[in-house]
Amino acid sequence: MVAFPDPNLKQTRVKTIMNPFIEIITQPDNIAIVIMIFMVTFFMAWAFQQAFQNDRLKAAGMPVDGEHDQDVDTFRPLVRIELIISLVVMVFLTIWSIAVDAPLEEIANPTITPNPAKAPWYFLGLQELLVYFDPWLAGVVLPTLIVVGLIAIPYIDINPKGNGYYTFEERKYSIIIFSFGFFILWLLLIVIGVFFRGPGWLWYWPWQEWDHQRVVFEPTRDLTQLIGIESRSIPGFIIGAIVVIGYYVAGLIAPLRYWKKNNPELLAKLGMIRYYLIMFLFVTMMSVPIKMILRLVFLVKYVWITPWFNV
Amino acid sequence: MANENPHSSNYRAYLFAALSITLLALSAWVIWNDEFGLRPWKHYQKEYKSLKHDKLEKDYQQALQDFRRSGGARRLAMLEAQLAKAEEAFKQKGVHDRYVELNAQLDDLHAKMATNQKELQMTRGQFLETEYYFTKTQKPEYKKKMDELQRQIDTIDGKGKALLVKEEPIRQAIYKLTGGMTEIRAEIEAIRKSLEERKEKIANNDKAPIEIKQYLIKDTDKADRCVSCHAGIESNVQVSKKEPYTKHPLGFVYLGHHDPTKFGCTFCHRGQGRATTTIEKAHGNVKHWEEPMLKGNMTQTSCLNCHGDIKNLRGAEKIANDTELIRKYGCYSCHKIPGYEGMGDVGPELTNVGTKVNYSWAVRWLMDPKKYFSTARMPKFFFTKDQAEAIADYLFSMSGTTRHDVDYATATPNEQLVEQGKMLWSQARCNLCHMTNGKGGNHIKVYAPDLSKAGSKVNKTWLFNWIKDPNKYFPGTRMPRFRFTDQEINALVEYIVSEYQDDEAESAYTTPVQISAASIKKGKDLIQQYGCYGCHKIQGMEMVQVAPSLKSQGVTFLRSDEMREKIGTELSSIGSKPVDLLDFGKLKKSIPNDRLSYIKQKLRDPRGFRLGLRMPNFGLSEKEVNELAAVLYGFTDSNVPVRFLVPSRQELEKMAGVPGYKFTGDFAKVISDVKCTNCHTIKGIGADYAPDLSLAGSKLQESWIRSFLANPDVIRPLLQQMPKLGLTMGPKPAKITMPKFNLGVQKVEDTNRSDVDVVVNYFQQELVTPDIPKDLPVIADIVMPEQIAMGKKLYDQKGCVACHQIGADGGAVGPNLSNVGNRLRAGFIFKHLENSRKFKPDIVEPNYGFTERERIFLTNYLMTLKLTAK
Repeated sequence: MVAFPDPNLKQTRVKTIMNPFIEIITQPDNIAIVIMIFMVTFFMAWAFQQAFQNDRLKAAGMPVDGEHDQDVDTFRPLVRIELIISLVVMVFLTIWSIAVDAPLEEIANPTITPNPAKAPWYFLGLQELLVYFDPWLAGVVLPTLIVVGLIAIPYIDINPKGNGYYTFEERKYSIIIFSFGFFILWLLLIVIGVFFRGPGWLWYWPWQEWDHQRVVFEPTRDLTQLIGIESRSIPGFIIGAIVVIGYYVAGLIAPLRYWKKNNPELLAKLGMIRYYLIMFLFVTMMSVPIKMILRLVFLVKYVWITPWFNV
Repeated sequence: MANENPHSSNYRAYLFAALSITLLALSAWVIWNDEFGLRPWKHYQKEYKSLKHDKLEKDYQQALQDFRRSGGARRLAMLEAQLAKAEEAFKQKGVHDRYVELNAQLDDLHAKMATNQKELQMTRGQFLETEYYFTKTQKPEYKKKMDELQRQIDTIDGKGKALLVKEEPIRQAIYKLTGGMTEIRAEIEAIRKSLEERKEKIANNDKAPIEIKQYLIKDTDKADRCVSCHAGIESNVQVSKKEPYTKHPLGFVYLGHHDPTKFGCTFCHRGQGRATTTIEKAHGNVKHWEEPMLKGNMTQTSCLNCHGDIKNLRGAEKIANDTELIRKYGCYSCHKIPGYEGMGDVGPELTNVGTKVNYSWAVRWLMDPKKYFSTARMPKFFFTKDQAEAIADYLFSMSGTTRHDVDYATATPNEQLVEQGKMLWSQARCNLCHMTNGKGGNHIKVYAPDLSKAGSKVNKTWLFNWIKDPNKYFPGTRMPRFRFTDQEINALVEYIVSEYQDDEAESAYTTPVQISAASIKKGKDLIQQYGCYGCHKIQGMEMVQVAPSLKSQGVTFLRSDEMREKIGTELSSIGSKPVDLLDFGKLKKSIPNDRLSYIKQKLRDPRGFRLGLRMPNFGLSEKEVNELAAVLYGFTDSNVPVRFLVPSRQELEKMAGVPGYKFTGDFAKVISDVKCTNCHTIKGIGADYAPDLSLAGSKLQESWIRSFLANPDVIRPLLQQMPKLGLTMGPKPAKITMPKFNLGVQKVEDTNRSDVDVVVNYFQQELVTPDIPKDLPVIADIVMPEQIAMGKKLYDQKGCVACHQIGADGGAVGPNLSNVGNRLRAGFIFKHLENSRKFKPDIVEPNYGFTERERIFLTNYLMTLKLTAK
């Protein structure tokens, strides 16, 4: 069937069809996140470049930029630089707020839920977690643990190195784990939420047009259903519990065994309380990518179903 | 820079200075942007003010010039000279002293009067107190005291009156002294005032502040700031023809009935009333704003929000005309539309269609009705030949017939019968409703089928039975039963069948073929899938429209039409449906993604968006698409405050619990037979195509009704849908007369009364109003011929001849009055002259404000206007 040409087409507003990706990134809503992508990449690259440079200097036995021999006063040098930066930020924000209006959408209508209903961009990582976790876990437990974990960092970090200068070699594990948590689990999820999620919270590649009528057939199941056991039955409950508790037990015990054998000094330095705290936070953090893989690759919705919450 | 000492006081000072200056410049930009950049309406208001100033200034100069030219200036100068002279005379010593002296006397007098008045009040107070005690105790001393006080009061009163008498001469003396001055001053004042007022207007305009202006309407939740730029929209004077300074078109109709302070702008015009920063935003032509501003005639779709009845609504002519299309195409048959419930079927009943039409015609028609007749109302369902045959099989099997064509064309027609039939055809004015070969017919209000090809379509026996009694085949039909004899019907059938043949007709089924069960099943499924039962009554299909949700609960039948599940989407709020919920399907990129474009595209090509859509193609012209889209765009679920609503008469009666009018007795039989209400309105029932007969009994004379029914002729040379003072945009009226039904030839069923008697009787019993007297009041003091002469004089004086025709003279706007004395009752004319709008609110006739006597004279004159029977 042919679309009849509309003779009034010339007079009416014709929506310019752009590449959907360009359309998304040029939306005023997303300016902040586009800036964030570039800034994070730039500063991450800079920090690692400095860290590697320092590591090479150290390896060659030379002094490192930022160590105590080059100290300057706070007043004047630091305060002036901070003042200048604050001016730059003010100039930038002023121009931005004049040039770009606050992005408003349709007038609010209590009978219609916008689709997709997206949180502010800085919360989109958490919203993305809702795909993989029970709302109680994704919305309450995990954010709380993130905050608690960040607060705990100064108390569980016993490595005094890397103070005042960049280094990678001296803080290898801390940097890798933090980078994984921040870049992958926080920022990448935000980027996914902004650019890759469309109507129905379905996955859209940047070159795909958002389609409100799109239909996707993707039945999910629970872990025990994979082996033919109803997840809401007692055997299902028991198996789920074994898997979840087993994961935590294994995650806490296995490294303990390993370090006892290979690096007992480290364990001694840490102490058992610090060890269990660190490993609990780490194992919980790692449950996020594991659950994502289960959900995306094996279409598993829940591992363990309890009457109160689902894991 | 790298080598710069961080502890020096000049450390990065240039950068710091440059940034500080930038920030200062930015602050200036912020102020400018806030004051002007975001407030373009300031510019428009200023511009409007200066335009208005120019206009007022021009008016003032004009008035000044007129004033000078008309000698006003000379008169003013003269008056001023007189005043100066009088004032000079007044200043003379003796006069002035006398003036002061008199004024002192007057003051003295006033003081005395005041003292007297006070004394009077005191005495009265004492009197009232004494009276109270006397009433209570009945003691004689109180009575005595009362008499004493009464005497005092009389004395004081007399004194006061004496003082009052003195006042007048003093005043007269003062007036004499200042004599001319007061009048001269008043006249000067009056002359100056007309100019001063204009000057004041200019000053007020210049003083008016430049500010945001808005209509805040709480119950519709609107704050319309449109007037901040459209400053002259409410004005009665056109200050400038340039936008946005124009006044509202037809402001006295639209704004006159919808005070903007109570209705706002966007309730009718849509758009984004709160936005003030750019034209695009304010007019709603921006992304995420789904209600772009409505312009021009399109705005009339908003009338549908509040007005229950938009027929005869001033300013809603276009949308009233457009809504006719909903009725014409019967959109409500498949879609739920509020206000269109229980409208009846659009198409004819199909239960016995096998006895009516040829099989090959049915197949051809089902495949593409528009190809058969370009004026066909039935849409195209894109059935293949197999599908069309299956449907025809189902319908024909239900009528108990086989696949069979009857070819009458080959039989030689009886010439004599054809000739008689032709005469009957034109006598009965069949062409009034039915179109043949592009002539006659009425496709706007009556929708009678085109008969140009009827001879090849219908069965002769069926046609005979149909004309004989249409109600028997199709109880709800609009076709009247003409009072023909069997012989006449035979002649008509012979004429129609031989005259109106279809050259393209093919007879593929000349030998009867038995219908297979599989085909019937397939046909039934197709009918249910495409919902043919929406427009046509098909026996056995009335029940299938139970909503699926009810069906699952075991409901298999429904009591009323309103519970029926319609096959199409509900349209009650299509005009405000969120764009996200509209499925543009594969046309998402080829048409603009807005609601109006969607509606238009859907009407143009109903199945174009994606596979599996069922709506048929109505083959609408682009004009019809625009008109229908305008109507659909007006079906919104917007929040309408109760105070806005103007319910139609039917809705009001329903709310008040007034039962709808019902025809009774033998007249009801006549109506169901002759279908008077196809064209006439009677007590709110029927179409507005011919005159309203609700008060016919009070209005018309019996003898005239009888002769008119026997031989109907046109009363008005032009229809009453004359353009109303230039506001009507409706189609130009055609010349129309009433069909001849041969009433009076037959008796009404089960009675021995002739139908004309029944009609006349009903008119006189039921269709009357006590407001219209039967007879004229009598004037005893003037003899009749003189009254008639005076009436004629009035007729000539008031220029009635401009609109009405008597004999060969006169205009054609109003009805021809040559025979009015035979047609109308005197009482009606008398009342009509008093207030012509009382019985017909939209009439053009002016109200002349005749006195009762004048009306009697005129009526008596008009009653003499009679054509003698030929």
